[in-house]
Amino acid sequence: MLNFLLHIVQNVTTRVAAILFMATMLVGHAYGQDQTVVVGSSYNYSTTQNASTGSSTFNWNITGGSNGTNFSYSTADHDNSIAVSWLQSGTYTVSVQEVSQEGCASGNITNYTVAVVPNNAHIAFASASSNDCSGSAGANLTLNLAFSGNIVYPVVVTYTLTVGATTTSHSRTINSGTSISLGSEDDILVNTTTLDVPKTITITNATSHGAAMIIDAQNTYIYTVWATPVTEPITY
Amino acid sequence: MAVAAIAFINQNANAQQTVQTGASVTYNTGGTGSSTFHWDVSGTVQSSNSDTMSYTWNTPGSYTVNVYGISSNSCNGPTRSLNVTVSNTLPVTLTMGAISSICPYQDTIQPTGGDPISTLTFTGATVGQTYSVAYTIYDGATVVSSNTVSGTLTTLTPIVTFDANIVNNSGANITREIRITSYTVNGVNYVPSTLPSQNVTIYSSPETSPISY
Repeated sequence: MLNFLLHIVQNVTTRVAAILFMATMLVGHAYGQDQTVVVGSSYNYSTTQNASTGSSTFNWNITGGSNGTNFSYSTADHDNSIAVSWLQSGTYTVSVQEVSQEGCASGNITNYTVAVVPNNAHIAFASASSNDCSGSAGANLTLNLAFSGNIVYPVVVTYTLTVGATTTSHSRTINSGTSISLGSEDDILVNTTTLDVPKTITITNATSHGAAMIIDAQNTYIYTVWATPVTEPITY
Repeated sequence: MAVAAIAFINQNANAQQTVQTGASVTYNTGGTGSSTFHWDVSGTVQSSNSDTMSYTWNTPGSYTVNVYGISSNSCNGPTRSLNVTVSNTLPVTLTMGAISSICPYQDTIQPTGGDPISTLTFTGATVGQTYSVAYTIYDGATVVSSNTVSGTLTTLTPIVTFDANIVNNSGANITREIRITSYTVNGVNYVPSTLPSQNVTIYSSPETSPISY
């Protein structure tokens, strides 16, 4: 009698747990999303081949909008990866189906939900200027940036560096955080003259995972390298 | 006895100095944009923060004198260094012969006189080597002037004239001391612990009476 009651309780417990698990999956599938990106960004999506022999092909599809308007990808691409540019806000589903070398389609289609949000990523310098003594040649100057809006790394920043009448342009890729290290190509830390030398850094372009960022007003930073005194040879 | 050596010879970057144990040397530097200076002797920081630093060499060995300028923004200039060898005996020694009394320098009617002459003796040097001798003329403890005399050793006992132009308008004989503060042979500068010196008497000039008729 006691064993019978325990068996009923165990069955009930198992069934309740199974129902709760399925409900959770349904909510996640119906309302969740796998990725959030900003308008204008580009991503590569890929899957892995499951067929054990030969080379499979892959049929990619994106629903929720039209190709060329809401997003852009090559429908002629049947590799295991595709490049997608997200053009308008919305929620889209990227799906893929593997077809074996023999032409047999897989029994399931894999979906990946992408929420594309407006591109309101802003960038500026966190402060306007600083100064220091002359430093090492070939070393970078590290500055703090101010980000706002939807930032998706990598952030690629293109800047100009103006010293006197000379202006050069370079870019840096930021994969995390809000600091940027720049200027090593132009020996930004160095000043061997007996006059203070201001070096002006200007952000000219920035992208957040390929999407153009809005450059705010404080896009210029002046780094002044103080004069280095001259030391004459020792005499006696 | 340690005697302060104060000279003003510009040395090139590779100059070497050999000093005798007990010698004191005043080192000088300078530089645009430097507010203060940092001196050290083989890593031992010295108290001077001006463009001169005096040091007494008490222990034989090899040392490096270093200095760099510091700007008002606390930026450091390049480091200048001088290698110094301290030895109980110098490989090249110098003695200075007696100086005969001389007439004073006349800078108007007859620009002659006023230059003492002495025979120097270089021991340990070789004929053909270059030399330079730094000297200072004292009136008591007061420095009158400093200068150098240099040339090539055609003999180890060259007779040198100290370009002093000593004037005597006192109406009586005066005495000046000529002290050699350091000497350089073939690019190596030597500072003895006891600096060679000699006194010289400068006669008074007679005053010519007016012409009468």
